Amino acid sequence: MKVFRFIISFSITIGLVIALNMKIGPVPPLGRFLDPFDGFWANARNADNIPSQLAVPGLQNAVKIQYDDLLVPHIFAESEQDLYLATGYVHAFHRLWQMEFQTHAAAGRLSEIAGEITLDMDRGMRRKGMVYGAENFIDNIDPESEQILKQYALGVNYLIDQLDYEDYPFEYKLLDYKPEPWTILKSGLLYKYMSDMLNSRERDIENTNFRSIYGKELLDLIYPDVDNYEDPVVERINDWDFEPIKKEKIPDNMDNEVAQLKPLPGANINNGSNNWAVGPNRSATGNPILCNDMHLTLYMPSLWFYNQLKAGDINAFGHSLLGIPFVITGFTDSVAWGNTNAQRDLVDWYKIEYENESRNRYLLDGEYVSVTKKIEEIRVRDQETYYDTVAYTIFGPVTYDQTYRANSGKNGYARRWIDHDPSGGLKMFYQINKAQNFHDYMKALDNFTSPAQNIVFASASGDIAHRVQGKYPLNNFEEGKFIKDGTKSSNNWTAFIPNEHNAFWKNPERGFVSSANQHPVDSTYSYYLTANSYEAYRNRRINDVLRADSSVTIQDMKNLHYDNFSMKASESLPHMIDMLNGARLNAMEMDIIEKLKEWDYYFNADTKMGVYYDIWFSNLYRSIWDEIKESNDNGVAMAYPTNYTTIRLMKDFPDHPFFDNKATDTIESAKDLVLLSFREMIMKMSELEDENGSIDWATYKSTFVGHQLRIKPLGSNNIRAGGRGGDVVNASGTNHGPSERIIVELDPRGVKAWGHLPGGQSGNPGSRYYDNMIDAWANGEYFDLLLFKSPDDHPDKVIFSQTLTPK
Amino acid sequence: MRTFKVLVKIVFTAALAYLLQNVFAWWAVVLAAGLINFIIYSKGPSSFISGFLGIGLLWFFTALLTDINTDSILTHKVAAIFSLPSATLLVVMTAIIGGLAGGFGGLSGSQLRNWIMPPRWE
Repeated sequence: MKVFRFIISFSITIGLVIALNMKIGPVPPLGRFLDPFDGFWANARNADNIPSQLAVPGLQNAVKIQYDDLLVPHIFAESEQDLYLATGYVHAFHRLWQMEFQTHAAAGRLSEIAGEITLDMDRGMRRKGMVYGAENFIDNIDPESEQILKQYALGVNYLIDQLDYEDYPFEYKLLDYKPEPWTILKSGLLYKYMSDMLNSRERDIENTNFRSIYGKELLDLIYPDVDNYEDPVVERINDWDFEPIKKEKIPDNMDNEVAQLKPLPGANINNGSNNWAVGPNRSATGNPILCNDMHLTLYMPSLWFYNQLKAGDINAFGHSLLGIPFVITGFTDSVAWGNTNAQRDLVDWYKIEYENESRNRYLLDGEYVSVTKKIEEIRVRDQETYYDTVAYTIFGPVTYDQTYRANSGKNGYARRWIDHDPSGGLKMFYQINKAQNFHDYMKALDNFTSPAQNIVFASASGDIAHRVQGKYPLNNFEEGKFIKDGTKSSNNWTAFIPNEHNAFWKNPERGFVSSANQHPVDSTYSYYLTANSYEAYRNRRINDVLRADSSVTIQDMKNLHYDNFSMKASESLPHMIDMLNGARLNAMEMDIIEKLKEWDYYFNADTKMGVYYDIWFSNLYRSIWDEIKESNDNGVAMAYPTNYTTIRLMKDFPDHPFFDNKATDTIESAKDLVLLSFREMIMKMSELEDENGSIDWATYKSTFVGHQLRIKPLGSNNIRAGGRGGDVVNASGTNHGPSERIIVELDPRGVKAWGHLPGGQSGNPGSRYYDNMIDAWANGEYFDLLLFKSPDDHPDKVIFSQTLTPK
Repeated sequence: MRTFKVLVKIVFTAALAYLLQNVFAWWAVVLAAGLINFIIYSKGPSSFISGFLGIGLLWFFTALLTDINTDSILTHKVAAIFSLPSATLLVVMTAIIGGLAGGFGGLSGSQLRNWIMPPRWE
């Protein structure tokens, strides 16, 4: 009897311990997670405890790390080897979970953590060649960069080796898994993660389908290669001093192709940025000023991490990506640089004709050749491992076939991406972290191939420059815009635009340079180029403001970062209102029209008219492009035209058949749709106000910075911010916008800089530095970004000192 | 006398768990409660109660102190993840989870003692 009693209570105890030690559904292991000593409480308790002294194996000399009051580490090492090791340790100390999560995402390994829900995404990452690209990148890396990445990995792994469960970053505890050792391949994967975000958008499949169904003429009307040639990044009309290289023209013979496939979701269409530099003649102090803000999905922890790296002739302050030990954008004591994405079609698709359904051999130049098969092993949490076979052709991996997102029978679609190729990107960052002048900048950029960027430059010696730098395939007219015939090897990329022919200018007469993802060059540039879309508003607005100001101050630059003027609204709203002429409007409708006429087109946080316009325009846009939606719903992918083109068509071709709403029996013109969408807007507005009371732009937009795991309480929600994603210079959208802002004044007596992140330096949701910059980011306040001359500089700003010593 | 014994067990359980948790993972609280109730035998529900309170109070006060010292920065977020309306409830939830583990540990310890070393008065 007694024994039974014991056995029963003992079994209950064991069962309870097992249950509380196990993740059940989304619930973390409650015992382990809630344990106040080692569970998540430890992350709260130890949030900002930085050890002051550590003995680190592999160091040659002591490294001094000074943290300023933004928790920015200023890392002082005696050798580069030590610097990069320490940087690895510092990055991992603050952001280990993010570092690993992002590289898992790039490698198609999220299912290991999240289970089946991310399997399709993981397959997509692998099938589009992310790991393949990262391996090519690392296998062909230059020896110097390889050594740097190895030192960095040593530093990261030193940190990981120190960790007990108690010390695991919060998210590991919540999701119940463990960090794994860092490798240099992971740095490569992180690099591809960024390239995928920036350099993978295209619409070849969508263009092909549209052309086959609606014809080339309509395609050219609705999807021009460039919306607007005004204000390109580099404007050197008839002053391009090179002889373009040429290649044989290959006829495009895929006229009737309709690809029945569901393309992987592309990177966010609003991914883009602003950067500009003002030369000495237009700056109030006579010092050049450089500004940058990069628009990406807003995540916690912040995408960027501020640090100062100092060893030998390296002395750079700025934004690093977690996983790469360089300052990606920032400044040295003599120069500053910043990036915007240099849009271009850098992906091509090849239709592969397999011999049969076994997909072992494909037709190439008249005979069947074997594919190289790679078995992708995708581990899925709490489930069986998923094995996916990916076929590699001479063009690249076959992303879509009958087994993945396509109804293509025995055919497949192979992907060629510029980022499948090796790249000298790390070398460029390494060199620019030492740059002292214009010459150093140019030399560093010569190494850079991807992801293609518009890299702005300014120096304390008074130079400003802009360069559109990347490795661009040489294309004849319209080549690469459509799916290519994969039965001919000659359709592969054979030549690339030489670096010296990439668009570039230095100290232009107008006294400033700028870019905002617009068309890179004026129409006299010799090479054919196209992209998914080029920005047509922010670039013109930035240039208008800069042209009008011949004595630029730092405050002017802050104002321009926060410029809420919508050129899109100013160019479309008056026309939309005109198109209501003749319609019978009631008094309330007339009243709204009158108020809209008074609106200044600024998307300030408290504007109500901005909400009216925004809902009106998006309703109108949706009703115009109902054909596109219907086609996508039916499995034939088509692209949505740009706002710019939509507005132009509305003005120039108001009776075009595209304006007919297919769901109705009558035939609509643009005018009808404008009225219809106006009335829909009024209904929507009254619904919104019934639900929420008074609505203004900031409450309607309701900006948030979400945690990467999309767990709402870990993000920063309901942020009051003006601006609008896409066409407004202050590109703060709902969950997208400036992932940083920086202003640098190149004062020869000492470079000064100001900036902020939509978050903070720490990756720990329990830290005070996790989201401490959010309010400043929303309200236009800037922090001083300090380049320390020595570890003893700015003693009043230093909040922690850490010394890493050799072991 | 009996109340005193329970109090002694609660204090010893908490102290032993505190020591063991420095070395072992969270489940060491089961051992602590079990061991104390094995050594200090008493009849009835007091083994469960002492285990529950010994660990529950240890966890409660440790969590509460952490919550206060960190201005609830993380606790607020975790409470929201668990759909709890306040950080204090998360402290209570922590105490209950620890308490349950301790309670069953205590019960098992006392019943083990009862089985292999039956008390003389029975």
